[in-house]
Amino acid sequence: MKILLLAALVLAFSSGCQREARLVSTRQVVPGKTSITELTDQRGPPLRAAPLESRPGAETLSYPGNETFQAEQGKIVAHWRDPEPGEATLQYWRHRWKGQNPRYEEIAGTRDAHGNAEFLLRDSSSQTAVVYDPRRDRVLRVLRYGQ
Amino acid sequence: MASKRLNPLYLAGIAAFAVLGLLLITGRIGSARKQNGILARWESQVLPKTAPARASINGRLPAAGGGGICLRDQDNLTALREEARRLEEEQAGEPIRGFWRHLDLSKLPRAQAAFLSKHGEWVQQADVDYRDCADVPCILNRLYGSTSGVEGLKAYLWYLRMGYAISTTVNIPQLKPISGMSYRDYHFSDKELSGFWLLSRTLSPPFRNIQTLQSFHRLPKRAYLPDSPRACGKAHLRGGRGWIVLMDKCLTLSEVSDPFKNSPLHLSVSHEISHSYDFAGLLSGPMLSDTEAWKKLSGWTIEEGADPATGKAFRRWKIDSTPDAEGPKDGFVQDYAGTDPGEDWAETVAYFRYEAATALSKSPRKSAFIAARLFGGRTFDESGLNAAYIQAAAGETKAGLPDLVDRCIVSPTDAGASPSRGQAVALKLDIPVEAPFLSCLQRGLAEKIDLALSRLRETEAEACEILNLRADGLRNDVAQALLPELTQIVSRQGSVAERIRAVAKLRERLSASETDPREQALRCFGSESPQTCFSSVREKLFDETVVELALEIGEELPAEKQRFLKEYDYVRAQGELVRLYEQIFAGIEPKLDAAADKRWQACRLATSDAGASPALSPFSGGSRFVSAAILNCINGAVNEDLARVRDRFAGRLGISVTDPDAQAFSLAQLAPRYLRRLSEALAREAAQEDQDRALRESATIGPMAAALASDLTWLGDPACLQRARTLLDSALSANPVPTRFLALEDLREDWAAKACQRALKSPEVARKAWESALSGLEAEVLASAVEEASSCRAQSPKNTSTQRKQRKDCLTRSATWKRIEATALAQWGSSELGRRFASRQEEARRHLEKSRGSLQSSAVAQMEAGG
Repeated sequence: MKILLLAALVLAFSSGCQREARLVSTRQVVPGKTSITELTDQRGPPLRAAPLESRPGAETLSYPGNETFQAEQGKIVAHWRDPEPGEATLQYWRHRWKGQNPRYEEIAGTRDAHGNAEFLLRDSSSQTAVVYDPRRDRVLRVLRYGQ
Repeated sequence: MASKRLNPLYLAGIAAFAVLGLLLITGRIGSARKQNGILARWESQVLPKTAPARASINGRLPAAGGGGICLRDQDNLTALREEARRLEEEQAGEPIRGFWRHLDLSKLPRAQAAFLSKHGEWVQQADVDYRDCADVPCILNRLYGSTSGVEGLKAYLWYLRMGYAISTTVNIPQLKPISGMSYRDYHFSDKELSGFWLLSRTLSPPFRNIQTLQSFHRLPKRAYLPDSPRACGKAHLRGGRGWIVLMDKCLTLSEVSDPFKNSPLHLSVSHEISHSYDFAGLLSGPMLSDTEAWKKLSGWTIEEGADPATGKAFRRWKIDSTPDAEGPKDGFVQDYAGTDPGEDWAETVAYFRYEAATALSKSPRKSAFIAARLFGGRTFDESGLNAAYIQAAAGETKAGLPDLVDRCIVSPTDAGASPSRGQAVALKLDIPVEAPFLSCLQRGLAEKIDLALSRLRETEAEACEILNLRADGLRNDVAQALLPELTQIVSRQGSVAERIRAVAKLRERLSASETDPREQALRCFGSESPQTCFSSVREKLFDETVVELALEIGEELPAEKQRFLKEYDYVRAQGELVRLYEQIFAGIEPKLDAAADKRWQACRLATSDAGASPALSPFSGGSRFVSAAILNCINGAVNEDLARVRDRFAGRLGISVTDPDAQAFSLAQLAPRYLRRLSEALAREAAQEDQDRALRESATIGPMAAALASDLTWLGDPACLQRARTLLDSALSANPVPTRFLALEDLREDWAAKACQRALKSPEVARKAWESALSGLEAEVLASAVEEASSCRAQSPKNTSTQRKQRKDCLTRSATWKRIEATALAQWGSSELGRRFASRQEEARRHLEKSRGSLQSSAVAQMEAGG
């Protein structure tokens, strides 16, 4: 029994550490401040690096876990990630950004032939935005940005 | 040869496997599984007359014994009536209680009652009198103004087979009726309904009863969708409710002999249904077209980026055509398919079924994906159809081979009537047999194959076309396909019987265990990966059951395992599970609506949870803000409401939902309707609140702006917003504004900002603000002069009158001063004040020119004081 308890504790501790490590590593990348070199020092080389066709001079660096970073002039300027489970409703962000008057706007070019489009809820004070799909009532991506 | 084998043991073996073979053919062993598990129990209680669907090629139901009449020739009143009768019989069950207009639902066939209960809104028409109609086809025919009686029947058959309503009203969700158009203008024509009928007979089971599709609508001739003027059809999904709207161009039928070739109706309607099928993925995860498994076939990737200054994002689909480990990426069946993964899916599915050659040549990988996912692995090009027909006919005939061999051994001259059509099949066994025996086999086999092919003519739209061209060839191909099996049966005698007996025993055991695939789907519902869970449950079940029989089954074992695993995948089993729930809970919709309405009434004014964290599931409130009090009130009661409605409804049917998995699944099935109703109520009330607030907005902001303009102590200070917030707080405390659907904090910021903007527009404030801005500009000039002054002071540091003059000249020199002014203007232009007066830059520059003398004096004094 004691061995089981010990094993459970070790497991809980180790998984907690892993989670913390991920949060710390993500937190250390600050759009507008972190350089590409600092990013690759922290996270290793990207899975894929490609120029951003829609924005000349910019490139995207893709990492496991569907994370991408947008870099311009050697600096990380945007970080895209999937929402954590608790962040997947737009209502969560509406409540989180109460009083910040976040802007809710259609993302240009995402309207499909069936009239469905993606929307962006953008809070300039925290330099964070989320991509929302009304059809699924789900937040698809979380974006942090900064020059 | 044959006489040597006629011994009692041999005959006993033959008889044994003949009986077992017959058991397998008739499905009596397979049907045993329906009697175990809670679902089968409910099914037998609520839907006692439901006959298990007899599987045929591609899972379609066989036609009503049309004696080999081509499927397309069954589009007539007699055949359609028979088809409806048979489908109604299959969907029979406990009566549904309630009334629809004048009709007592409990007295109608269950399928008709379910149709009216679920889709009654699409058959309402105030000015049509159908009080003398006693059934659904009569009502529909009355609405269509049908003289032949087929239009209403075809519309009803579409529901019976597919599960969707064809609307006969002017109402289309989210569209206003077009003025001057009668409800008849919104009807599909008889020919178009025939197209639908043929579609219902050519689409595979996954296209039926899609949860995210309820109704089909037609726009009047020449009308188009306001938001998509170029589209000829569109699948919609809003709040869990799905519908398809079709227009002229999508409804053209081909006049050529092949009913599908170049027929926009089949391509367009199957395209739109494929969208609805895709949308159904949203209920439990991503849409199928949004999965990696699909996107990688064409190389779909999403490019996402942002403007780092503003956070404005952009996302667009692009193609990465680099080949992957599985080979080159697919192309597109049409340019339009290259729009996005969803259009690619819908267009490729439509082409796969109705323009197969194009799909297979342009998109082979996607075709294979679709074949496996939707069509049981078959394809619809000529060779695919041939192969499917051979396989289907061989499969059907194979089961009767032991019996045939038995009969030909016992009585080679009598067994098998003469082949119904022409020749006996060419058959050459690799083992020596006597001529009468072989001739008997050839005749008997021909008879059985002809029967199987005749069934194909009745059920397969393309079969007549192919059989008319090469019936004899196909008969021989089927015979060839059966040759190995036949040879084995003839040569291996007892050992074959043993093997067949072992296989039969295995199937029986699998049936006797808890193997209702719907039950397995139920157990896997809610697991992280239901597909994986489902496959592993079935694989484990097979492996455990087969242990004792493995040796006897021998080399057939892998094939038998494959057959068992392929028989059901999770999607199919879940579809059947959903269908069963829909049948059991048909007629529950009004109860769910009533429960949702009651819940909304109880929660709409909730205020007690101010400051609490909102509960966001299962009712998220959608895209707009909803107060935590309302969300918590609703989400705290959803499951209780749904369980109450479900249990009352189920109780009346004599069943109780106590199994935890069944409880969870039933709640998930019932929730969308209930949540949609709540969302609709929320949208109405939020719109009303928006209106109320808009009225209050100007009445509140006006006095605030006046108060700000009358007391200008805040000017030149960013305290305008602060002061406006104070004014607003006192206004709101005296007369609160409703903020159930807008965060009070956002309202404060928004209205305070608007009050400040309005105040700044008043002439007095504008003048003062401009003066304040100019003061700011002058301050910038003096600030810019400091740097230049230190340089001048460095050149002439002494405090003599000569050097003082040199310093003054240095600072006020034309070039230096212009530089100071330019720097100041730039600084000012980027400040908050400067930005507000960006359009008056030139005026600001002239002000600096006018004030240059005094500003220079101040700058010199500042330089000297600093020294």
